Parts: sequence; C-alpha cells; structure tokens
Amino acid sequence: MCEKYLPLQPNKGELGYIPQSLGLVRHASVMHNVMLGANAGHKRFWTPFPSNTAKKHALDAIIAMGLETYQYNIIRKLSGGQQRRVATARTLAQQPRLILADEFLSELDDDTKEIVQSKVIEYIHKNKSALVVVEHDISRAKQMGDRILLIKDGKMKEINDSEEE
Amino acid sequence: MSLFQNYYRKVKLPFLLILLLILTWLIFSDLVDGDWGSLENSLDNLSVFFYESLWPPDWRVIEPQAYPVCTEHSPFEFKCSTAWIGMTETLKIAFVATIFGMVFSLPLSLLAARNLNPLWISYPVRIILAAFRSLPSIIWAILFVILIGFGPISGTLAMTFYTIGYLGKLQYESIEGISRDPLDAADAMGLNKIEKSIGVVIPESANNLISQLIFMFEYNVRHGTVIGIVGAGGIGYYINLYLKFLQYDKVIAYLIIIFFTVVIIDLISIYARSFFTEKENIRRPNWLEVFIPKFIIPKKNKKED
Repeated sequence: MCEKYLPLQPNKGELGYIPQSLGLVRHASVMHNVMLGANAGHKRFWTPFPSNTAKKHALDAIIAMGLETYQYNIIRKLSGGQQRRVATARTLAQQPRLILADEFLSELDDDTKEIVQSKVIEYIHKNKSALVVVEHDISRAKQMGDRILLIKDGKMKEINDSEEE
Repeated sequence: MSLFQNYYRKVKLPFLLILLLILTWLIFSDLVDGDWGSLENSLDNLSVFFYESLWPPDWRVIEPQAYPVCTEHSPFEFKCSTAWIGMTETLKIAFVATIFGMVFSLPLSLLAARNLNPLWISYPVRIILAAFRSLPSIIWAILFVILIGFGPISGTLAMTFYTIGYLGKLQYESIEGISRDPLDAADAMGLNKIEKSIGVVIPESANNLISQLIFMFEYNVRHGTVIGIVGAGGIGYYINLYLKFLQYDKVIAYLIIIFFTVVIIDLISIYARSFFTEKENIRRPNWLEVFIPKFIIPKKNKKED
C-alpha cells in the first residue's frame, strides 16, 4: 500500500506529517494551526478568510480530537497531550493520502489514546489513505498496522500479528 | 580543559580587567596627544556656562506663540507653544516612520532570514538592510533635506529609511531564532514560502516582532529630536533655532521637555513590551508602578488565609 503512495510530492498537500516534536505554531490558536492543515489540503492559497470547506474540515478534525472547547486557545498554554491532539487534528483536516506519524499517541492517557487512534484509523479506512507510524508499543502497533517492521540492533525485520516480540 | 581556561585560572579575571583599563587609558592618552591643558578649566567653564547661560530654563517655550494667534481656549493654550508643536511633530514623525519602516522591513527580513531562503537570496537582502542602517538617521535627514527641502516629510523619510535597516536586522534575527519544527511541518504539508511566512513564521515570532516595533518607536522618538537640527522637522528645529541665537536657557527648557517625554515613552514601552514577552512568569508592572517608583506606592493589606 505504501509503495503506491510514496512517490507523492509533498508540495501537493497530500502528505500529512505528525512529527514527534509536533511542529505547531506555539503562539497561535488551535484553530489557526488546524486551518494551516485544512488550507494545505485544499490547495488553496493561505488567506485570513478561508473557504467554507476548509473551515468545515478543520472544525470536524477539532471535534474528532475533542478539542472544540479549546479551539481559540493559544497552543503554548495547552498541555502536552492536548498539543499532540492538535497536531493530529491538523493532519486530519489536511485530508492527506499518506500520513507519516512519529509516536503520535505518546503523552496521551489511555482513554484519549483509544479515541485518537480510532479516529485516525477511521479516517484511513474512509479515505483509503495510508499511515506510516513509528511506535514503541508493539501491541498498539499491531492494533493499527497491516504490516509491522521491527527495528532491533540496527536490523529491520517484518513481524506477523501473531508473532511475539 | 582548554588552554584559555588554564590560563584564566592562573591569571584570574581581576588582573585581566585591570590590564584592560590600563590599555584603555593608554589609548586615550594617545588620542589626547599631550594636550591635557584643554581639560584644566572645564569644570569652571561648565559652572559658568550652567549658571549664566543655561539656568534657570526659560519656560516661555511652553507659552503660546505671538504669531499665529492662538485659537485654543484656557487651559489648552500650551498647545500653541513651540514646545508642544515641536514635540508632537517629533512624536508624529517617529510613529509614522516606525509603521512605514515596519511595512518595508518585514518583507525584507523574511527574505533575509537564512532559515527561510537560500544564501543567494538572504545575503543580498542583508547587504541592502546593512546599507540602510549604515547611515545614521541624521545623515539620512541631511540627504532628504537636500532632496526634498526642510520640514517633517524629510524627517519622516529619513527615519523610515533608518528604521527599515535597523528593524529589519532585529526582525530577521528573531525570525532565524524560531523553532525549526513548525517550518518542517509546513514543508511537509506543502505550504509555499508566502503561506509559510504568513501562517507560520509571523505568528511564531509575533511576540518578538511587536516588542521590537515598540522599541523602535521609542528609539525613533529619541532620535527624532536630533534630526530637527538639520531642518527635518520636530522639536530639534526649535533647538537649533535658539542655539543659533545663543538662547541656551530656552534650549535647556526644550531638553528638559524631551527628557521627560522620552522617560514617559520609555516607561510605557517597558510596560507594553511586558505583554509580549516569552516568559510567562514575569510579573507585569501595573500602571501606577510605571510612573511612580514601587516603594512609594502604599501596599495593599492582604487578608490572611
């Protein structure tokens, strides 16, 4: 699945990226950050007056991540977990065909982890997208992934769902 | 341990400081070139000049001018005085120059930032900014007075040009200081340079940019008093006028007005900039503390828990 999408060019807004450091604009609001993703996904030039579709996608992503009460809060005033959810919302609002995520579930409590994971998986299935995720928790990786590549001692090997670490 | 640290441990910092002071004195002696006589009577001269020419200040500068006839009613007649007219003109020049300067310096600083553009773009823009900055505002004022003539337009243009160079440098340095992560995320999303600038770079560095803008206004007010001396408008024009007529008591009155205006703007600037500081644990002064020293303000009685 991944091979099919990897030749995508990032400048087309079809590549979503959730870095471990999140890459959020710290002095801007949650809505501003998510709108950045929504505008990128709609290949629309950034304006202070975004399209209704972009706004709708941004708001949907914010609601999916349970951040509706914080949408006008400044990022640096949010907790680590909330910031991580904003980064995920930004990527979902972008509606990419491939998401690259680096431990996007860390710093979240167990309940929120489930919700965020299920929303991302739901998005992947609904939009026939692909997700490449770096995850230390193997059991969670198994829940999310069709293929799991384990890197151990500098060597990479593929493991099956049934296989124990 | 480095060679410097080893050396430092042996000779100690005070010795190096004394050495530096001796070196400075030697250079100063070289500059004076044995002509110490000119310093001998300086204190006496200052005393005579101060008591016979400067003091007391001639406060007629805050009285309405004889011509044109003042149309302001009491107690606002001071608005017809040369001090008020000159000082407000200086403030207006500083304000307009700061905003015009920012309008031009922000795009230039976005181009000059090395984390946004390749070196072949950033370095030429930096050279342009350095060129604007290399001439002090008074030299720009002389140039514009020659080109345009006397008046506040020359002053505004002179200050604008200097602001572009100075503010541009401050801005590109703070833009270069922003975190790399949001820029990487924006690149991955496929945002172009303009979108990245508007959506990521400016909001991310907004606090610094606003703080620098306020500082620049304060700086321009201070320097705006000088450019009038070469005929570029503002209170400096009147200072120059009375200097020519050797009316130093009026000059000192203007200088005292400038001093208090600058101090007030300085204090307001500190207060305003405290809203845009990165550190949230900084305690902001209240308005009373801006104008009155903290120890004079009576403490409120706090109820014990």
